[in-house]
This record gives sequence, C-alpha cells and structure tokens, in this order.
Amino acid sequence: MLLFGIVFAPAITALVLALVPQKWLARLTPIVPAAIFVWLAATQVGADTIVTAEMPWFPSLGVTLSFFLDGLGLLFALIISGIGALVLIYAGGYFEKPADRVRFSIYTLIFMTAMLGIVTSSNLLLLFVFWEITSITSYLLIGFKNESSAAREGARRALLITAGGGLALMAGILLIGIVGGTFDLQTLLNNPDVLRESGLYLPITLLIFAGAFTKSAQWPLHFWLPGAMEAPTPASTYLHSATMVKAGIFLLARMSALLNGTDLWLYTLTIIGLITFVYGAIIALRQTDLKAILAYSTVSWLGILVAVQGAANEYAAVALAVGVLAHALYKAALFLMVGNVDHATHTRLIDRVGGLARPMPITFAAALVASLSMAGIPPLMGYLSKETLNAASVYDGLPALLAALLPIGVVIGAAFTVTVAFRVLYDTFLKRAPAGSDLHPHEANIPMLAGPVVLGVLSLALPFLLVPLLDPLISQTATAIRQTPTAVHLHLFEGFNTPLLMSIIAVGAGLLLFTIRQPLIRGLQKLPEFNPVVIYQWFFFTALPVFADRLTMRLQNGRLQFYITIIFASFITLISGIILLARLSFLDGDVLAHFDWRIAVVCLFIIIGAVSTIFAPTRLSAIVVAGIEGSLLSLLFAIYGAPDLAFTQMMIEVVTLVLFVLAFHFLPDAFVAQKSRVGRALDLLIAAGMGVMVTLLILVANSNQIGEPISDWYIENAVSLGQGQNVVNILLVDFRGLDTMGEITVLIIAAIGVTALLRFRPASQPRGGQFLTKNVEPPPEEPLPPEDESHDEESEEANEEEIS
Amino acid sequence: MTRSVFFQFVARVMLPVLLIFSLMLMLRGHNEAGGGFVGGLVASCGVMLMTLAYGPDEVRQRFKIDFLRLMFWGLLIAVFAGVLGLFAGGAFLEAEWWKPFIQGIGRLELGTPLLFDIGVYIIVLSVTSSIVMSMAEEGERND
Repeated sequence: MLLFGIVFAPAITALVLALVPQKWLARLTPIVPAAIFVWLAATQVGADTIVTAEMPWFPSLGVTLSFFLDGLGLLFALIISGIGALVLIYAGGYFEKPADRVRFSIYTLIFMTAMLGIVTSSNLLLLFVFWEITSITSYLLIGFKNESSAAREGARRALLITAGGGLALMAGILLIGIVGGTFDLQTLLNNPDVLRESGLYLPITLLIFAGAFTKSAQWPLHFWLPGAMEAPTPASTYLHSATMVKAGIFLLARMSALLNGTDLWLYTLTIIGLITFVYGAIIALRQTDLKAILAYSTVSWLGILVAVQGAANEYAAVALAVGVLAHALYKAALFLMVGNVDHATHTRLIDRVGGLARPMPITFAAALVASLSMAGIPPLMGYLSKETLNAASVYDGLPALLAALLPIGVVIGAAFTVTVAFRVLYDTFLKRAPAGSDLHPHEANIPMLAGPVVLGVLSLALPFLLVPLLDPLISQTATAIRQTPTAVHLHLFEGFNTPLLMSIIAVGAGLLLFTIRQPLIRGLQKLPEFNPVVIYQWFFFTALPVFADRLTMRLQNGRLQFYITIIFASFITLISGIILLARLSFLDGDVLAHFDWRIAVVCLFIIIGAVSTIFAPTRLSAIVVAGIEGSLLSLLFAIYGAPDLAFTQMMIEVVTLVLFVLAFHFLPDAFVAQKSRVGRALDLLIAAGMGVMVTLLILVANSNQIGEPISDWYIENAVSLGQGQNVVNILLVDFRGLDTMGEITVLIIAAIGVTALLRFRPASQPRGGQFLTKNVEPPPEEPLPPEDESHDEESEEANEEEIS
Repeated sequence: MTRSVFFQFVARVMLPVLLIFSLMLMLRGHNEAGGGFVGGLVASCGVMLMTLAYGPDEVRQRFKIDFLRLMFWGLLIAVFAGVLGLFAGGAFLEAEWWKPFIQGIGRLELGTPLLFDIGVYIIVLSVTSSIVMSMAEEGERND
C-alpha cells in the first residue's frame, strides 16, 4: 500500500496546490519527492524483496491497479524523485512570477506521478495510461509559454509524435494481452517465452519499438525533442533529459526479458540506436543554442542506451543501468547550468556568451564536473558509464556485423560527445567573451545552484561509493532487466583492456576534434540537412488537411438532397444485402391476419397523399399535404388503440408545420427543377427502392420472430414495477429511462446547433432573400431534429404497440 | 410584419389553456394518455402561437425566459431524478416512490419518474420554443 502513496503523493500534492495556489505552498512541494527519494534510497537499495501493491479497478476488464517495485523500477524511481525534488527547488529561483511557479509545480508533480506510475506499474494497461499522461504533461510544459508560437508548435509536434507512438504501444499491449492471456507484467515475466513463441511476436515487437522509439526520440523520429526545448529550462531538464525521454528506454528494458534474443530485437535496436548515437552527437556539434546542443546530445545518448539493449547480455544490462544513471546526473546538471546562464545573460547562444567562469564560479564548478563526466573523464560517473558501455560493445557473443560496427560506432559517437562536452564547457565559461558583448552576468541564486551542485557532487562521489551504494543498486537493476540474478562489481580501474583503450581513443580523438572545432562546425553547418521534420510537416499540415478538406467537400457539400440520397442509398444497400446474405424469409407469417378495412382505407388516403406531394407546385402546398399525411398516420395509431402515439403524432405535425413555414421564409416558394431527367429518374429509383426496402423490412420482422416480444413483459410489469397504468409513458421515463436521457440530451444539442447556425453564421454568407437569385439550397437550418427525435420514439413505440 | 389583432387575441386566450392542458397531460401521464414529451409539445404550441402573433422580440420581453438556459435546467432535473435513485441505493435512474397520505386530498404518488418527466417536459418545451423563436427572429431580420 505504501507504493500507492509513493506513486500518487505527487499528484495529490498537485491537486492541493491547484486548490490553494499559493507561493508558500509551492515552496514546500519539493519535500514530497525528496521524502520519496529518501525512503527509496534508505529501504529499497539492496533489499531482497520486491514491494507490491494491488487494488481492483475494472475487475470485469482485468484491469487492476497493481504496482511492483523491482530493481529496474527502483533505479528510475530514484532518478525521478531525486531530480524531481531538485527541479522543483530550482523552479523557485527560476520563475519570476509566483503564478508561473505554481503552474509549473502542478504540471511537474502530475508528471512525476505519471512517471513513477510507468516505472512501477505491473499492469500493462495501467502503464499505458501513465505513459499517455506523461505525453500530455510534456505537452503542457513545452507549451508553458503559451503566448509564443514556437512553444505551441514545439508542444504540438511533441504531442503528435509521442501520442502517435503511444497508440502503437497500446496496440502492442493489447496484442500482448491476447497472446499472454494477461496484462500483468509479473505474471508475464514468470512465463517469459509465451510472446516469443507466438505468431504475433513480430507485430508486438514492432509496436513496442514504435512506442519506445517515439518516446525516446530515436532517429528518424528524434526531431520532436529539439523542438521541445521551448519548455522552461527546469522542465527540459526533468522531462526531456532526465526522465520522460528515458521512458522508452525503460519500456525496452522492461520488455527485454519477454522479447529479446531474436535477430529482430538485436539488429533493430543496435542499428537504430547506433545511428541515433552518432547522428545526434555530430548534429549536436553544429548547434549554436546551448539548449539545442544539449538536446541533440541527449538524443545521441538515448541512442546508445537503445543500442546496448540489442544484445541483452549481462554487460549490456550493466551498461544500461549505469548509463541511465550517469546521464541523468550530468545532463540534468548541464541543463540547469544553461538555465543559470540564460538567467544571468539573457541569451543561450554559445557565440554570444563567454568568460562566465569568473562571475559564476559555483555554476562553473558544477558545469565542470558535469561536462567532464559527460566526456567520460575518470574518476567521474560518466567514465564508469563509458567503461561499461565499451565493455558491452566488445562483448564476444555478438554476430560478426555488429561486432565490427558497434565498437567503431561507439568510439565515433563518444569522440563527438567529448568534443561537444568540451565545447559547452570551454566556450561558455573559459573562452573570452565576444567583443562588444554587453553581458552583465551574475551568479545564480541559491535554489538555482542547489541542483547543479548536488548533481555535480553525486557525479563525483558515486564512483567512490561503489560497494555500499552503486553495486547493490546496479545489481538489482541488471537482475530485473535480465530476470536472472546478476551480481555486479564495478571497478574504476580494471587494468589495461580493450574498453580502456577505446576510452582513450575516444577522448584523444574528441580533444583533437575540439582543437579544430571552428572549421569543423562551419563545415557541418554547410552540410545539407536531411531533416525528417519536413515529412512530418507535410503529413500533418499539408497531406492530412487537404485530404480532410476534399473528403468533407465531397460528403458535406451542403446539399440536403445529396445527403438524403446517400443515406437512402446506403439504407437500401444494407437492408437488401442483409436480406440476401442471411436468406431471410419474409412471407412466412400470415400477412393478412389482422386485416382491417378501416386501415386499408386510411392507407389508401396516405398513398394518394404521398403521390400528390410530388406534384405539389409550391413548397407550402407540399408541406401541407405532408401534414395531412401525418394526421392520417395518427389516425392509424388511434385505430390500433394507441391514443398516446396518435396525440403525440398530431402535435408533432403541428409543430413541424410551423417550423417549416418559418423556414420557408428563406426559400423561394415554387420548386425549381435543378436536375436533369436522368437525375430525376435516379431519384425515383432510390425513392422506390426505399419504399420496397421498408416494406420488406416490415415483412421480415413479421416473419422472423426470434424471441418472446419484450412488450408483454412491459405490460405485465408496468403496474408492479413501474407503478402506473400507461405503459408507453412508463417505458419512456422508467424502464428505458436511460434512452430517454440520451434523447433529451440530443434534443438539447440540436437546439444549440440550430441556434448557433442561425445566430452566429458568418456575415459573408448570403442571407435569406438571396437564395432566390443564387438558386442554391438553404443552409442546413432544418427544423428536423425535434421531429426526427420524436419519430424515432414514435416508431419505437409503434413497434411495441404493434407487437402487443 | 403586420400583426393581426384577432390572432393576437386568440393566442393570448389560448396560451393559459394550452399551458394548463400541458401540465395536466404531463401529470396524468403515468396512468393515462399523456406524459412529459407530449405535454412539452402542447406547451410549446402556446409559445409558438404567441411568437407568430406578437413576434419573437415581444415574446422574449414578456416572458423573460431564456429557453436556451431553461433546457439545461430541464436536463439537470432529469439527471437529478436519476441520481436520486443512485442515492437511494439503487442504480442510476432506478425509480423511487414516495406516497404520503394527506388528509382531505388522498394519497399522493410522488416518484422520481415524475421528476424525470418534468425534466423531459421542460426540455421539449424549451428546445422547440428556442428553435421556433430563433427562426422567427431570423425571418424578422430579413424583412
């Protein structure tokens, strides 16, 4: 049960903060994630048992609120809560307006719950719900400065891509549920081969990939992440570097034991990840905005975290665990550093800043540790991470192609990462400030220093706390990823081996590239950029709208005649299709069993009326004849002994007549022939077909009595259950009350629609009288909704009556 | 639009008759022909007559009723009737009856279906009236 508290405490805090949007309360919010972090670190690191919690949610659908905290979830939960606390503290110094800080804290706390939910969910559907909440909170945070169009565009792009991936993930999860018979991760992990052996392995894996790759910004879908840098810096730090973008990595690690071991898994992850790693590192170098540099280098690092998961061996699991932790520590510190620089100098362009080491010594110190860690310089966390990574890349069991590609790719990417790290550090803090620049930098305030300093200290200290802290944590994580007990013993120095050699080459090459960075960057900037964002733009903002436009123009062209033709034609096709396919009989029953000459007479009049409507010269005369038809129909009801229906039908006719008369105000009185002879012949055909189909339908209903008619039940129980004599009314307000509720709601919607169309139509649209000259159909201000509605009810009731 | 004084007189006489008749229809609906739906239609006929006789602007001024707003009250009443069933321990919209005996009048039969029917009545009345009035207004504007 404690796990529920951990997952939902941030969201509850957000709720309280939303109700009491006060600055002092926002100031207290970091306590919540800090407490979670302390509890996790104190009780869970090195623990032998896995904490679980469960509560039924939709028992009929097999959805339970079930959580479990294994090593993998623990590592991520520590990062989420720890960095979350630092970011909330940071926000206190970053936002100038208290309202902004409150809003930011609310979004961030909700996000925190969602993220903790992802990493601890045991039920896959639950995981999906949390997954989507992170997409939405990310959208809100990227669009935080909602008056900026770039922020809105970035938010929309991130949402479209990650939510699209979320849909794929949902499909994958549903397939897993079908194959595995359960959505429970713990159950699935106990029987790990069930998915691999099924015929749906390929689609499941591809769908999970789609979810993970979009969330974790893998090439070629990485472009939303740089766009997400419009978010306030603390949000970028938290979501788009330390936690949310690692949800995809987490998902792969979580599913690894269920899906890995195939060529599909190995090659897709390794190759896509490697491309992302090298591409991101190179593109990062050519950026000039500090945040964009860090964004692309995050893309790059996410790539390597995907790539190492392909092989899914012990080294890979360790490299993943250490890599996630190291990256979260140094990249979050660097992002916060950029926030400080931006705050102090009001620019993030690397060409405009320089020499900030002196005015901002503490920020500089933290950035120094973070960027050296990023470059993989011993004895920092980044170095440890790079060593484990190199070890994973030269693992013996890899197939020849990857055994050649992986180490080379890792070294190239690492070299560029080193260059980027040094460039960020040197050009921001050490290089002389550009001539003529007018910066008055100052050191950041204490809340804004806390984060970088704490993270820097951790990057520095953790490698020296291997035995008490890191080894047990990483062992737990690797065990959870591989689902086999794994004991990890990390060492800062393992002797001269291949991984160390690779590190040395990477750092050397990186330093070399750093010295020639000016021409290198200029060269890179001249390179033509293949940016998949073009495809995204085309798809969402050209192809889709044009397609939707054309479709709408075709189907919703404003001609009521066309709509009716479509509806009737579909009706005819459907009914005749069903009758033919199901070979329904329609002359079984005695059709003339209840013949009544009075009814025959009324029907004769109705037919005469219908025919004369066609020949009515004016609209008014047509509608009057139609009104008489309705009255005759109510006479039919009366003969059948349904006074309710008869009366209602009469009222409907009256109201309809008045509405029509009011509507005719906008129409020419006489009908104007608009159609060719062929067109009218087609209309005749459709009308006749409609009549035939309705007749057939009635005959079919008469001949195919499947079950006992429910009307008997209604009549029997009207008094005892409904406590009344009028079955029709009891049906409406009691037995089928929910239907009526739906119908009256539709009525209201129709009324709102009519009012909106009449009152708020654009001024440019032609007004009533002009229809005369323009000869077009009226705007759809038809008075049909109430009439339609009542007819529905009428026919429903009529059926009941007839059967009874 | 020219107004006919005779028509206006008829409308004014008919309005209370129709309204009372509609209320009666609604209330007796549970046991005899009638109900909220048809009651609402009859009542809206009264409003319709007034609209045709006096024009929508004058009707709006006289009645001081915003039908667009009124329909939501109707929906609220209907939902409330449903929720009452929920509170009484049953399902949403499950009927609950209350039958107090009052000296001199007899046994009253009050139940959530009646309340629900009142909601239906209000909605049908206000939906029809608001559509008629806005169409009539549009017609006036074009003249």
